[in-house]
Amino acid sequence: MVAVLGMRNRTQQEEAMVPDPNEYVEVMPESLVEEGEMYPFDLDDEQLMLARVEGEIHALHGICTHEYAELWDGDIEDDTIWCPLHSSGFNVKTGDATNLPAVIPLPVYDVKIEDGTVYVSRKPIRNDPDER
Amino acid sequence: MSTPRHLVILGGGLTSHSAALAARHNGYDGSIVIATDESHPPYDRTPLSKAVLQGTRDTADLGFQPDVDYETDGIQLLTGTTASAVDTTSRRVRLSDGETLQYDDLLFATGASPVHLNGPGFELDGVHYLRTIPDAERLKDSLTGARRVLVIGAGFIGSEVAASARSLGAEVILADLAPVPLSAALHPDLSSIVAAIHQDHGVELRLRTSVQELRGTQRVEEGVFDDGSPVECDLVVVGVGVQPNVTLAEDAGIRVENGIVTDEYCRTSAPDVYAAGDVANWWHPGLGQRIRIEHFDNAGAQGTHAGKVIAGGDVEPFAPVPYFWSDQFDTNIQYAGYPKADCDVIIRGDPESRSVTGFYLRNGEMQAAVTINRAREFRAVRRLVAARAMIDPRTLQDPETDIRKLSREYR
Repeated sequence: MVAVLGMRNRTQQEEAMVPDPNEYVEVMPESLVEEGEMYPFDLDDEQLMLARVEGEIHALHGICTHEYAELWDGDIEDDTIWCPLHSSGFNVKTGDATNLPAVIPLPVYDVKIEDGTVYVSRKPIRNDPDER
Repeated sequence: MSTPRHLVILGGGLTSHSAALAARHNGYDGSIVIATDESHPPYDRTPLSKAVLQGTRDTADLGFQPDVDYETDGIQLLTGTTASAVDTTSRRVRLSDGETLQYDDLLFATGASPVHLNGPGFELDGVHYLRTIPDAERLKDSLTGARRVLVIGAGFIGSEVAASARSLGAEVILADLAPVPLSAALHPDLSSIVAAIHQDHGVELRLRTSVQELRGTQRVEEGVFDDGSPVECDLVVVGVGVQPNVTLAEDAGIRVENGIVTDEYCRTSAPDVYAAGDVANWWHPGLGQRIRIEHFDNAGAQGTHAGKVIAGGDVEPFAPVPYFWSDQFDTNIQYAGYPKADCDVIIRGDPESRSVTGFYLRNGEMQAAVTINRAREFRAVRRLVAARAMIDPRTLQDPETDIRKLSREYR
C-alpha cells in the first residue's frame, strides 16, 4: 500500500517535471549531444539546432541570418559558431552576430534538461524576429 | 583629462564603417566623421553582383547596421561629400562643398575604382561597370530583357556577373586574356573546375583573347576580339580589375606604391594618418612582405584594426589569414591563406563532381586552401592553414580522411 502510494507520488513528480508541451518540445537525449557538435532539428516550421560548448547545451536558430546556409554544417571555435558559406560568426550563448557579413543576430531558445532529455522552448528568448 | 580628438575617415565602405565603430567602442571619445562621395551609408557590396542582380535582395537592405543609426555611436556621416585636398601639416581636409575639417587622426579608406577600358566603342550605351549601388541598379535594369551579355574579364566580378546574367536567362559570353577564369586568384587545377562549372551552365567562355573594340550605332551591338572575329551582344559588363583610389594621398605627399603604403598598424608615412582596406598596401609580418587585398573580409578586419590603433592602447600587429569567398550559380568558393605562387597543389575530391578542396603546400607546409562546393570542410581547412599544418598529402587526398576531425587538434 505504502509502496504503491510512493510510486504514484513519483509519477506525479515526473509528470510535473516535463515542461509544458505548448511551450517546450522534446529534442533528444542529453547523452547524445557531444561537445563541440551541432544537431539540427525541426520546430514547427523552423530549422533549429543544438550546440554544446564547454559542457553547456544551447539552442539557436539553425539558418544564417546573412544568406541561406545551414549553420550546423559550419563549425564551433570557442564560443563562436561559424557559418559554412561566408564565415559569419555568431555567439553561441547570445546569438549576437560577431563576424560579418551577418549583421542580424540569431534567435536563441531556452534549453531545459529533464530526466536526461533536452527540451527547447518553442519561442526564442532572445532576438525573436517577430519582435524586431 | 585630454582634449577630445577628431577622427576623419575618408571613404564610405565597410572599412570606414568598421573603423568608426572600433574606434568608438575602444575608447575613442572625440568626434568621428565619415566623408563619402556615395549617397548611401556604408553598405555590403558583395551582394551587388549576385543577389541584387538576380533580384533576390533589395539595395535598400545592404546596410551594416539595420537597426542602429550611426548617431547612436556619435558618428557623423557626410554622404555625397568628396575630400578635395588633404594637408598633413596643418591637419586639414578640404571637402568638395568648400568646408574644411580639422583632424587629429585621419584614415584613408578610399577603396578602389573599376579600371575603365577606353578602346573604340566603349563609350556606347549598354556598357557597364559594377562597384556601387547605382551601378548595380542600372545594370539590373539593363539585364531585364538583355538577350546576349558579353562580360569582359573573368575575375570575381566578371564571373559572378556572368553567373547572375545566365541565371536570369540571358546568353552569356565570358571573355578573358587568361586561359581560365579567376586566374589571378586560383591555381589552374582549381580555376579549370570553375571554368567547367560555367560551361555546365551554358556560359560561352572566350579565353586567351581580348575585346579590342565595341560596335553599335548608339547602343552596343557587337564586340570584336583580337583575332578580328565579332561577337553579337546587346549588353557589355567590364570587370577587368580595380585600381586603388590614391590620388588624394599622393597629392598630400603620402607614400604611395600600389596603394597607400602602411605598416602592420595601418600607419602611413605621415604622422597620425592611417590607411586600410582595398586602398592600403600593408606590411604583413607573417608573410614578410607587403600585400594589398581587395576582399570583403580584409576590408572589415583591417578597418577594425585601424579603429583600435587610432583609439590607442595595446593592439597586436595586423597579420590575419586572408579570406575570401565567391558564389557563382550554386557553387560556393572559399579561400583561406597566403597568396603564394610557388606551391604544390593537392586536390581532394573528384573534379568531375565539382566538389573539391585544394591544398597549397610549400615544403610540406600548408600555405593556403580552397574549397569548391565543400563548405562543410572549410572552417577545418582554414584551421590547418592558420596552423601551417604539415600533413602527408596522401592523408589529405584520402576520401576516408575526416578533415573536420583531423583539424580538431588545431582548434
